Amino acid sequence: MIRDNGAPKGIDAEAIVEAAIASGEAAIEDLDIDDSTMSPPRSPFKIAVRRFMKHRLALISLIFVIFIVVVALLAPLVAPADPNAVDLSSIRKPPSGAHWLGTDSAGRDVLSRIIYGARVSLTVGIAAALSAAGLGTFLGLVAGFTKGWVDMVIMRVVDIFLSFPSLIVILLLVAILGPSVITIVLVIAFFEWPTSCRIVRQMTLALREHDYVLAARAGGSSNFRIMRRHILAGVVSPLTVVTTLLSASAILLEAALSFLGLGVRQPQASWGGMLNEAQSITVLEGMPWLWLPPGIAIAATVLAINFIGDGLRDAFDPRQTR
Amino acid sequence: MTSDTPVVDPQALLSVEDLHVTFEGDEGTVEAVRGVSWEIRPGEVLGIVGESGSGKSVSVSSVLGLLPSPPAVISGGPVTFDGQNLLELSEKKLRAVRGKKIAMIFQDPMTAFNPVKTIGHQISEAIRVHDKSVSRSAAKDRSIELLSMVGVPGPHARFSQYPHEYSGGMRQRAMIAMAIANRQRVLIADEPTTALDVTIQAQILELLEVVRNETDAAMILITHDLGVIAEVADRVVVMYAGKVVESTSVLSLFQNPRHPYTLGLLGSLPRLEVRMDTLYSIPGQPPDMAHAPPGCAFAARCSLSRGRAECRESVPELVKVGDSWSACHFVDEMEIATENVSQEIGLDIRVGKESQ
Repeated sequence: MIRDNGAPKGIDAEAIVEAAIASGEAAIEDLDIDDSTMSPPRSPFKIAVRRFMKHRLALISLIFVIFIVVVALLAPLVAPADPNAVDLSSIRKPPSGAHWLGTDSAGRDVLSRIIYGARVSLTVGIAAALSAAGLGTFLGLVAGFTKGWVDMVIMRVVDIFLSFPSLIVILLLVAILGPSVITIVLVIAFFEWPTSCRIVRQMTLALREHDYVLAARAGGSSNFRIMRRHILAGVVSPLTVVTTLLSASAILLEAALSFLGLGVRQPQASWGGMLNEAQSITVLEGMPWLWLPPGIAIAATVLAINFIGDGLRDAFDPRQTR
Repeated sequence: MTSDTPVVDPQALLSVEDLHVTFEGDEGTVEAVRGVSWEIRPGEVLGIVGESGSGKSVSVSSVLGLLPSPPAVISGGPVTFDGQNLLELSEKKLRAVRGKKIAMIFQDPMTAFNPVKTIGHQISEAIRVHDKSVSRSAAKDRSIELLSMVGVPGPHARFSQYPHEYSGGMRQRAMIAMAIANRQRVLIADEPTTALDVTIQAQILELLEVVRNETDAAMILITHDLGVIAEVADRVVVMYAGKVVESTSVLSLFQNPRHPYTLGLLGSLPRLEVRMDTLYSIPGQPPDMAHAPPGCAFAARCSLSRGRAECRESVPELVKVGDSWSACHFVDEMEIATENVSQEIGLDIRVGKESQ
């Protein structure tokens, strides 16, 4: 009796096991299918791009910034008038069919000056951010990798730079060196590198302890090669974010300098320089077309770049959300 | 001390003599390696056995100058390879040895690859580090050849995959491929199977054997697993608390342990032949290496010592006993001790390699 009872139970169990195996195989097949559809974006870079694409605000911002860059590059083709063409017969005219954004105190077309001004802002933003990040990365890598007294010296220099009231020193330096796009880029870079240096050093300190760095050393790689091949690769993602944000603050700094009359030389158009006109009460109160467009251009560009920075940060490190 | 240590074999490929490694920390000095000597001949497999903290990895890492200094301070020596003292080589000359003549396989294949670079890139890199004349495409071909040699299926596709797309066993295979990329003469495998599944372990050991035969290299196998030693090694060095306590052929290690620590290790192996409710274990803890005991470091845990003053007060020298070298004051009592342990377990633990 007991045996008779046992037999069907055994069959049941076998059936269950078979079903389980079958479902397991099905699951594995599912995985295979999944795998083949998911396999293309597997490099860390592609994964990041994919994640960035999902960040709606960052994507819109990116499109906006690309639009501005294209307009700035094609300025001679896009601008309705010569930005420096003085027309004393139409001074401070409100927006009209001939001058979409009106004219300024010298009768120059505001829209054209905005378009040409974008060149200065973007050049300064990008060039200053790249030079600052370059210098900061180099010093941060060296500091984090060598440790010891080199690290000490570099980090104290960083501390000194960070404790300066940088805007005032920048103003002074630009005043001494004479305003030009190159001076502005160099001076901004000179004061903005410590941020990236700190971040790179921090990352380097963490990355150098990884087993793969030891493995590379055991394989005969030199310190320089390890820095270049392994540490730099690990630093790239936070560095991209920082560089993006740096370029936003460089654009702001340039605008501030130009506003104070220490930017690019007149008559060259720049957004900050155009804002300069708003220093007069009559313009501020009665002629918003003279200061609103450059103000909006600066704010929108900086905001867009910051959104891109946010998007990049989320794309590279999904754990770190806001 | 030096007069009693094994004389360096002129045929040795790599020899270490009286190596000391200390770590200078905030809480004092830790003596991780205290006068270790061994040598390895061409084509030989040397097993270094010991528990965590016995100094086995440290002694081998210091050979290649891989320990961060500070805090590590290396003294003693020489470490002779190719007629050169590795401890005195400049960093630049040492780099030419690392990965080219002496290559290392790391314990954890999960962390020893850079996660943001493809496996193929990293193997090619290992080749091109030592020979810049190798073109990228030649390095790629060689890498694919290496991957297929270590049994990675579909090496062409696998070449451009990232570490996270490899399983643990596959990664360890890739790591072996990277280590043998430059036809090295000595392969150091630091616990190559510890991080792997038991089923994969056997495959990796087999692969190491195949690879070693193919490249005709000597291998240093660091492990705490006597089973692995029995499988692969020719000679064994047993380390305890930064010292060599026994050095012998693998056969005499298993047939005729000459040190109570070795005996303890053998006794604590799980056996299939007898029913065991509890495993035999060595009582106590290894000594704190910041305050090493004045006598034999194993005295407090030793079944042979029974609190004898000699063990506590004087450090035993490594002396020749039969075919083995042993550092025990009472090595002549080992036969009886082995009997006792065998009785306790209910099985003669002195089984040779062939009967396993």
